[in-house]
Amino acid sequence: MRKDPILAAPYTSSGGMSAFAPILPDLPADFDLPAHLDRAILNRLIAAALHPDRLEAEEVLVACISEGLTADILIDSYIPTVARVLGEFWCVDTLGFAEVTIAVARLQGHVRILDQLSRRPIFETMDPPAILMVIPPNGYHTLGAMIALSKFRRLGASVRLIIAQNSEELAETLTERSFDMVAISASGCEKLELLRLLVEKVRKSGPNVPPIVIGGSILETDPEAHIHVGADYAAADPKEAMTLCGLMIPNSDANSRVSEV
Amino acid sequence: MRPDDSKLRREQPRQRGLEDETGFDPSGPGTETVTSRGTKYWNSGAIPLIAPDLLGDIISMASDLSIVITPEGTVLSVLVNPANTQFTPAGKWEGKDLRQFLTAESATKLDTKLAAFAEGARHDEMVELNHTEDTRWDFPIRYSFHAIGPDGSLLMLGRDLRPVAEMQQQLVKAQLALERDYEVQREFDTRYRVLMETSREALVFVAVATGRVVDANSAAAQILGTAQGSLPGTAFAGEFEGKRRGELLEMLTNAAISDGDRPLQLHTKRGRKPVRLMPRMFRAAGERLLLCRLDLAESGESGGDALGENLSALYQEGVDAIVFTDTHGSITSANESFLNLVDSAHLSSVRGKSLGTFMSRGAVDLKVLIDNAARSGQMRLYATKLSGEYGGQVPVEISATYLNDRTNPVMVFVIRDASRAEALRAPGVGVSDGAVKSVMELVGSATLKDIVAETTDVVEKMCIETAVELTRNNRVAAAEMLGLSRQSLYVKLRKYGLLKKGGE
Repeated sequence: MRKDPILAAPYTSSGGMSAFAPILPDLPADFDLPAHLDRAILNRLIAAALHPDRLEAEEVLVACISEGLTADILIDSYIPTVARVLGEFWCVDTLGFAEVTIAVARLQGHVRILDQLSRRPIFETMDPPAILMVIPPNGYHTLGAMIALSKFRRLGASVRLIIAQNSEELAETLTERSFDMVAISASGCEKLELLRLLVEKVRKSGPNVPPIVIGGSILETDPEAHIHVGADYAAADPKEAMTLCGLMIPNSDANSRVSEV
Repeated sequence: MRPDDSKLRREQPRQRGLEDETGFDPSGPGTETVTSRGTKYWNSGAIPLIAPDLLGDIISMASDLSIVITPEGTVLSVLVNPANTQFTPAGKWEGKDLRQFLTAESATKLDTKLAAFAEGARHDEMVELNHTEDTRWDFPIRYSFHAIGPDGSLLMLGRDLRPVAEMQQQLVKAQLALERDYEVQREFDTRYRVLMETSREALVFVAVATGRVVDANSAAAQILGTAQGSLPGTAFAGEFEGKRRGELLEMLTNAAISDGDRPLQLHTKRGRKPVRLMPRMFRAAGERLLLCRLDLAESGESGGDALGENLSALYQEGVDAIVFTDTHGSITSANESFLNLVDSAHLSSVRGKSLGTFMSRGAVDLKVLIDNAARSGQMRLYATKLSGEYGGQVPVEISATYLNDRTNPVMVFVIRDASRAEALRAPGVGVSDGAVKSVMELVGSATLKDIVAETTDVVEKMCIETAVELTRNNRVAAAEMLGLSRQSLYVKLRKYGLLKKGGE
């Protein structure tokens, strides 16, 4: 068996699996690996997510960038795939859910590292669209939301993030600042009633309420979630959300960089 | 809940089989103890044979939730740890399909496991299953699977993972809190970067411990003739000509603690441009950092404030000491010449002190100077002595100017070392040319003795008048200034008819 040096880390999995064994080859044979992704790079990223040392992860990510991979493909394609692989590892009991949770938390950190590696100049030549992104209370799967947040910023939008805050803070933010869109990221774990109340609060915040878009994995189980909770649109990804709201997309090119604010 | 003995008795035939092979009769009194592996020889991992009625108790106590299921997944028996009452509702599962009480993905995992057992594959791995019932409750359990009967029934020994799940939720909450902090930090970081980039002043942060650049703005990169991105991490001394790291750092730290406004003159390595460095020191997270402001030393490029630059140069390089104080005489700034006069190494050792502490007559001198300057805007050529830190005294002439046209008025003192001039005059009292001329005119009309006596009286009267005026008729201060006792001053005031002057 091939030994990956990155995997030579002092961790053990719940299944008693050796820390020195390559993990990816143990994936179920029917795992749907997207064709445009490199298996070796995926292996390195999985190892980085399971490695307790953040520096290791930074090295792997910097190496990926220096090998020509863009932050876009890493954040939008590789990291979600790594998360899926980790979920698959739980399904086959290679990893316990505590380990998966910790690894997904690390992936969230990796998104931030990649954002920092691709920062754009702070001064814009045009006024970027302003977006309020809300992660509802009790939303425990935040990696998807963080990837969406990063995508909005890479598309050039200026995003204010509100995470599981009380309704007062939400109302205050909506009255103090003006936004072009309110994006609610729902994982599907939230109760629909809770999301409906959230949308209602946004609508009651003032006379000029921006369009409200629902996104996230909730749409996989309920493609019409936006109708059920009273939002204006449902969007599969941030770019679609901005298009639906008629917002200008400052960075529509492939190698977008993260907006500062 | 009590185990269902009837289900567990299914294992008995197998045990009896073992008994037949070994000749072991568990009910027989005084028989030898035989291990669960059916041998008389004990080795690692062996336990005695356990009676079936005891086994159920042991299983229910040793695990949190144990389930016996058919190969198809129907629940035959549920054993709940008596200490864990939350699982009691699981007792209702008996006779039902276990999948009804599992989340969708856990039901799939159970199917996979049952299929593996059906194929006879050996599966030692634990399986984590999430139980749920009509979303009223859910809890995760980690099970080990054991084939226990010839009919293929399986014993699932489960460990409660709710404490781990609780930890997971805490972890996610902590992570969300961190994300919020990152967002706040992001806002501050953006403001910092906007400030750095919009500042026309060239700014470089240098770590004192390493001498390396921590951050620099584009204005600094332009002056240093390099790309902004390449500056962080480089040795700051490497950006200047002929300066070793330690030497430059020492210069910077000395300049930073002595006077933040006093620039260091250096030449850049690239382009050999003369630059001025104005360092300030601060601490951030325990690290000593220098914020160095840079500007090009060429006056032509600096915008034409020639007077300001010349005055600044005069302050820094001039021979006369210049001291700025507040209206009470507390020193706010002083130039190198003043520090030399009072034997001080750094501005920091005189800043905040009263200028009077360096004058031979202390508060009296200071009061005379400040009062007169405040009254008429300025005071010229006040003679006194400055005391150094080591006790040496230097005769000086001080002029004071009161700058009142601002929010915080300041006093400016220009102090000239008068030791040389005094040597020329000594020991007589300074006499002006006009006075000398008028004295000469007396020659012939009076004897020398009379002329000298008359002149002495005139000079004495003038001096006393001046002292009284300077001290605003403060007899104690005037006497001290003239080196007389109060009594002697009083006698002389009466002699020259000056007593009425003060209203006495």
